[in-house]
Amino acid sequence: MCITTPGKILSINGNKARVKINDDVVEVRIDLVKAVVGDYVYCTSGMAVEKVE
Amino acid sequence: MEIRTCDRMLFMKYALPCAGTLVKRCSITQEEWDSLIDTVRRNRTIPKDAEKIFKVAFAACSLIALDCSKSEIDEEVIREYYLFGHDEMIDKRYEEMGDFDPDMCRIRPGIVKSFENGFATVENVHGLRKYRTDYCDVKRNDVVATHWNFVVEKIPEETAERMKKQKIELKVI
Repeated sequence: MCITTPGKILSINGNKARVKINDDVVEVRIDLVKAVVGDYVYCTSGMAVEKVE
Repeated sequence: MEIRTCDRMLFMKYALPCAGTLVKRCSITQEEWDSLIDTVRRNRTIPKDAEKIFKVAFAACSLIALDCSKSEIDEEVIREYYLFGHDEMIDKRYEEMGDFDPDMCRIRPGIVKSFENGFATVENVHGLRKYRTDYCDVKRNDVVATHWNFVVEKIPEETAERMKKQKIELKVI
């Protein structure tokens, strides 16, 4: 159940971010990662689970 | 975020039954899965960070803990996710991945009816099905939560009723 997809953070509003994944822009919770706009994060099911280092 | 040490076993009991999907995706090997099941069955120490194999469940539990202002994932959080948050997550994941059987992945309440050859026959919304009982000692008429082909644990009747009600609302019965 645990494949994640990398995406780039476009904007952050509180604990949510708009993330560009492939050609889509999705909203994900970013409580679990320390990330800023421009960072890449691994996302799954509406959650960013890890920062791409 | 970490899982409270004493609740790591509970997390693994709920998480492990569907790790066949991870084997299929080559995230873990069949041997690693078998070994973790054996560790839980024998009530031995779970290897460090083993729960983090289950990235989605671990992240979902972490968010529930944060929303409840908890600094650790505890048994209450684990049950809240697996008994009441898992169905919606399955549907999202099925939409994203589509490579598993969402029906098998649902955690369901049921009542233990009988035992045969190490399996318990549990009555749930699908009628009678056989489940492994490696994880917990159950007896006839116990109300239990099942996941894939495992009885995970005994649950209170009120919890089972709440689960049934939610499944009807989500139309995942």
